[in-house]
Amino acid sequence: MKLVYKNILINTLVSVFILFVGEYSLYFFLKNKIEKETIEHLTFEAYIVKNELNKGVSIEYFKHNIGDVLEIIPIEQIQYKTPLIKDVLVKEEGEGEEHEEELEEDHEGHKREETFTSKQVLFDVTQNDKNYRISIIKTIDEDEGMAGSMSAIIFISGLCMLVIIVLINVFVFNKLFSPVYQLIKDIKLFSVQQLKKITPPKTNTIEFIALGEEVSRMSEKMISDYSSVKEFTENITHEIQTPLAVINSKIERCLQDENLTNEQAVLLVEASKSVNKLFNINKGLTLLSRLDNKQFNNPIEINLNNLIQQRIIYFSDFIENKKLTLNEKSTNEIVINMKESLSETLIDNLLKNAIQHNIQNGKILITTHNNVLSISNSGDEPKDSPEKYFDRFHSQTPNQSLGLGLSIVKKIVEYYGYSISYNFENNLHTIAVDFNQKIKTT
Amino acid sequence: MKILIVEDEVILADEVAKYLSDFDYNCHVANLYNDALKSLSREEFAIILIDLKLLDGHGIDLIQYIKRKKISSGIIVLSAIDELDMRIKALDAGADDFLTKPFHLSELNARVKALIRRNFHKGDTVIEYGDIKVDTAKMQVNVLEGNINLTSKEYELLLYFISNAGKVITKEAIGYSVWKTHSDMDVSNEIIYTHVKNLRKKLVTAGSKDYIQSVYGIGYKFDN
Repeated sequence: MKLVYKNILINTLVSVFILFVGEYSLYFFLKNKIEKETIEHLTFEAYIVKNELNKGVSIEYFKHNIGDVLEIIPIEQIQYKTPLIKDVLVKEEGEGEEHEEELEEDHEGHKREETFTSKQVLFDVTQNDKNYRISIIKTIDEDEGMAGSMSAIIFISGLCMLVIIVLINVFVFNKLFSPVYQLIKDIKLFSVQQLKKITPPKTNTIEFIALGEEVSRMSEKMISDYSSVKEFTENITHEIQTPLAVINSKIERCLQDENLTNEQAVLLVEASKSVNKLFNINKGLTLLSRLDNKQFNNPIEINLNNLIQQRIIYFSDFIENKKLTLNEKSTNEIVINMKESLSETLIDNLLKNAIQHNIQNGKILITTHNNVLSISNSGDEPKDSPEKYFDRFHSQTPNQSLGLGLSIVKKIVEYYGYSISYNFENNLHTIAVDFNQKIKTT
Repeated sequence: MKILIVEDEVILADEVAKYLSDFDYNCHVANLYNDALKSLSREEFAIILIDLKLLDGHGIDLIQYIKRKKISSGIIVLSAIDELDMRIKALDAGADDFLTKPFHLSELNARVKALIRRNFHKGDTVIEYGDIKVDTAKMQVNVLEGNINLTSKEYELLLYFISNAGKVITKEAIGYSVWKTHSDMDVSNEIIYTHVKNLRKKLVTAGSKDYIQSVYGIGYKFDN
């Protein structure tokens, strides 16, 4: 979820919550207030009526002079000396929303019945030796209606404000955060190989200036680190290879000496073999470090099935020498994007592994199925855990190989975001490379 | 024939010069880029061997200089950098061949000979050695005027032997040159043995003298 929407969501939720709580409290506060006032009003009216009666004003007079509904009922005994206030529901028949005055006048003949929440005050008086009960009723519904409308107006204004705030947020946020979005885009596009550092986005927000500068500095550091590692790799390749070449050529010239004894010749050849081994280790490690440093670009489209065919021809002498039976099964052609030299190294190392670790008269099975390339070879049951097969310098039989081949294979496979697995079944070692799932390289 | 060796590693340059001198080449060594420029202005060379990383310049620039000056020498790059990109760069600049260090001197010699054949014996692509005649254009081998059929590996093996005639050649050098082995896969002695045996048999059956000698513990020697 984008930051702006997250912000809006939180803002909206909180605002709506506050709006509802506020509205609710306001409504009850007003309602309470109105009720109180009504009670005060009625008490005061009762007091006035009582007072006037005491002064000798005729009871009949009040029937017409009090605004609220007044009833005078003759009673036997006085019950309420002090006024009693209670809630009553007044049932009146009315037609839709009519005014109270009309309702009062048209008492009969109406179809709809309406109830009004009202307050009633009751008190008993004595005049001319007759006891009367006076009841005054005041409807408070219309007052509460006012409270409702007031609340509604405030609620609607609140909602409008919320909508405006959301809109402002969307626009202002996008504008305010545009340097950050620009920076994210730049970081995504950043590639250390291009040796181009990230430029901080133009902004006058202090935090974003700091962020941009830090990211820019980091990218600069990455580039310089990358360059020095790259330089080191190149130097070491060159600096080690040349002395090795010198040693080898010295040995080769020694071998031309006609006075050389057989023992000396064997010693020299052994030395030469070790030099070659050193050279191959250097080469393998250089390749691994270049893969680690992501120094390969420019992939091209490669048909693995065709490549395998070519390389099998190349290895045919080795296959014949061990009298291996080669079987191939293909249900689909695997086409991938890879740097040419790496694809060749990949296939060569896989084939080499299958030949070198095979037994005399063994089998090699190569299958391509559902974009998975599997190369199997006969062999004894593995002694180590399968994960170790891809470790550097892991070799089951001493002196047979350097043990770099499969770790190079794994690195290349992972470099392009594919996956590799090892499995031993029916006396067959199988290495499967899955070219399906493209894991995002980080 | 004159060969210019441009290589900053003095010892390596001398080794190369000594080995090639045995095949009647007149070798001249330049350890620096500027030395190479001086030599080029004074003399003409059939072949120029160039190391890419020189103390005072880059081999690629030297190749471009040679091409600009329209010097017709054949160029072989000797480089410690074994990368396809670098190969392509060197060949694009005008190099004829590319050899990765460390190389076998016998391999370098074979490449030099092949390049000289291509550059200076146009029309004359036949190499002769005693009873054997190899037509490199048609990839045909004749023994005493009779044609013999060789597999491609046997053919390459024969060419390699003839190029380095008189020299002891290690099995490793043969494996490197004929099977183009790289990385850590050794060509087993049996494979080489089988191919040499077959080649020898074909040559001798056709009436050739047996030139291939086994050298104990090392490899082979092709000699009269």
